[in-house]
Amino acid sequence: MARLRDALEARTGLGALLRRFGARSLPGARVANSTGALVVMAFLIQVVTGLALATTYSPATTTAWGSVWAIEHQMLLGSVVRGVHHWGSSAIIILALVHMTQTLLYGAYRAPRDINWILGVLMLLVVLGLGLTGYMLPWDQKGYWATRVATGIISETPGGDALRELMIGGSELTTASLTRLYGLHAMLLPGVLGLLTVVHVALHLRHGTKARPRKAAAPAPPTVTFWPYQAVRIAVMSGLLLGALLAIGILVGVGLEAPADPSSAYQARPEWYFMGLFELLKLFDGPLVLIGTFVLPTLAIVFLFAVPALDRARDDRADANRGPAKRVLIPYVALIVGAVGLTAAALIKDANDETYQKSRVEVREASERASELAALGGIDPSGRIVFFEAQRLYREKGCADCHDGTTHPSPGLLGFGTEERLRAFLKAPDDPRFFGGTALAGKMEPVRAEGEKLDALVAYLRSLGNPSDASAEVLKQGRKVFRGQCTDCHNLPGKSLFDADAYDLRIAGPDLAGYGSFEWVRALVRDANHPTYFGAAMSAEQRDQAMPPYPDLTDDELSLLTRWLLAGAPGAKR
Amino acid sequence: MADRPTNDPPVPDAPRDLSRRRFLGRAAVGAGACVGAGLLAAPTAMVLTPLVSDGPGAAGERWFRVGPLSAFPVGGPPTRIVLRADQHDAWMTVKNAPVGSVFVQRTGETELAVLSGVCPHLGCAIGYRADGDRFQCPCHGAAFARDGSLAADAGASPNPAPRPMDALSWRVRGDAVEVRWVRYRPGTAAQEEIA
Repeated sequence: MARLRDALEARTGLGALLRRFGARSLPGARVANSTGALVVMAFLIQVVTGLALATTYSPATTTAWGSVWAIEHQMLLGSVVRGVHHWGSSAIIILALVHMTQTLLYGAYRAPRDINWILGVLMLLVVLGLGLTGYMLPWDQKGYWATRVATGIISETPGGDALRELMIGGSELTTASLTRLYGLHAMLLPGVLGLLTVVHVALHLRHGTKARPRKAAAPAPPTVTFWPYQAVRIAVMSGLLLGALLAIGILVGVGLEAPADPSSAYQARPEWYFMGLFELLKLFDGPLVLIGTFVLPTLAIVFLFAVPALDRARDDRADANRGPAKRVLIPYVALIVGAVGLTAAALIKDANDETYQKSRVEVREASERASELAALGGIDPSGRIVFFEAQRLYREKGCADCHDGTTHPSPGLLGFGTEERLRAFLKAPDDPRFFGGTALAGKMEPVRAEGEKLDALVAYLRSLGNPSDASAEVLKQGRKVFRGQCTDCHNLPGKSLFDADAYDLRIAGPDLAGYGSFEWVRALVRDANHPTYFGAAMSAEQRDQAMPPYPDLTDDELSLLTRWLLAGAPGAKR
Repeated sequence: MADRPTNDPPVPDAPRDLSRRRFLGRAAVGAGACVGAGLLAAPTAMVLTPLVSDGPGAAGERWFRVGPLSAFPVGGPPTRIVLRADQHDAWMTVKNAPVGSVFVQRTGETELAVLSGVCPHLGCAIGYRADGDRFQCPCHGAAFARDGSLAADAGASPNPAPRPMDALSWRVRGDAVEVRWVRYRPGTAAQEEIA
């Protein structure tokens, strides 16, 4: 082991490098001096969790939501990874701001550390860029609308239209936007930030840690070595940071809202670190809007870059280990107070805005429904949550008006296709859940079979359209019961004696060949009054009052509704 | 240790300081290791998910309806039927995706023979050739008689298939023929079901 270590040392000099790193002397070991290391730690957390997320995430409008849903609900601890990554972006921004403020208060932006200050401001902008580009990737309502607002702001700046189009790959948010934003978020910006971090840390090592500002008369602080005195503080603080992020990631998590819907009326809000900017815009109107979108933010950024130029005091003079000059400190404090004030104003306004809070309740309900229905009925290859879309059709195409019993009584749909419901229907077809109150009331007599015979009939009916696990004997018995009680009105399936035209229009009930199969139910939805369904049992007048055919439903929409119905119509009101 | 302010300079040759230094060094290594483990735990678990979850496969039941009994004339040639079902593709459910294919022959009034279309050699899709009245795999020339047994004469080379074609369970429900779809591991002499 020792020989291996010596051999490695002879070839790499790694040990000597680490020892030199550890032997650096610092002006005292202080927890407050870990802020820079903590930003690096937060970045590392983002890289590790981001890499794990990238193994599942798929950037396209048809796959993004589903892949993030899979991370949340199918991958082991995926929701924790995503939670840490989400809150990690807030942590990195807060820590970077703390680090910057500390650097400013220490006067550590002065030469020879001025270049490192400028690099630091650049890194802050890259971090904000990472937040901006990552926000839409889940392709849920929140990310979609926030990014629409943010890119809208960009396009209002001079030359911003072109910048916006380059950023999102066109004029609208599409798959091209997702691939571009993903490339920026997961490849370019982290690469740039990583490189800047290496240079930033290298320059920091070159110039050393700057001591707290002190009066000339005060004694210089005693020096300590980095290892282990500062290292242990960094390690413990890193642990606290990670622990806090894990706790928030597990306890709070990140919601996944319903998939992005450009047609919906959604009250868009950016993430909190852009809320101040969002509020700033509202202060200006008409041609002055440029002040909010461009002039003030640009001034703030220019000021930050210019900080070293504004204060040219020299630190190497014996009396001058001092804090920032007033002309740096005052604008900086104004900037921070302004940003915090605007952010707080925006958040407080939202908290007191009843309409907004009400919309949040609806958003949360839709979010939960989307995730639950994705688990229940799957996500199809075009990225739709099958049952979520079916429920939308159920509401928007008017199904709910009647089948919820609001307009006029119609059979409820909840539990459609289940064995329990079929059994109840056979025993009481005129129950309000079924034909009661409709034109079909009284058309079908309750089945007289009980016990084993009823079981057999149910098994037989359910075998007509789907593979059945019932034994051949049971099915045979069920068929016998059907023959004895049902064939006055219903065809004996498998022996098609009639075609539609030959039906006796007074008595004939639905043709049950294929009953309960996907095709049978789909045809029922398309035209329930077709003679082979309920049309034959009703008078012309009754048919006019009954469920209209839905020729404008596309095949696709019909299939969605049918799959939803066959699963028991989850979410139907009754 | 409590009586010593943390900012004191290290004096390497003081034994008390040396032990403090060693303690802090170990604490730093320990805390660092904990942070590393804590950082990697959840992402590692996420990446390892495929080892513990089901792979892609058919959702739901394994019995398939392949048609009415009348579709298969007694003594007729094997009919190739593609089985379709909802299938998982990562987080997506693909409706009516092909799951596999079977050959159905009606050997008697109520007797059927159902063979899996997956070659027991390496899992290619077997075809039925009416001219030689036998099954042939296009990949490596595995050949089977009409009843699925290994053909004695596989052409120029020896028959590469390690076992006959896999027979599948079937049942008749009313008028409908149903087949139970099972995948068997290719390449082994014994039939071994793949979950």
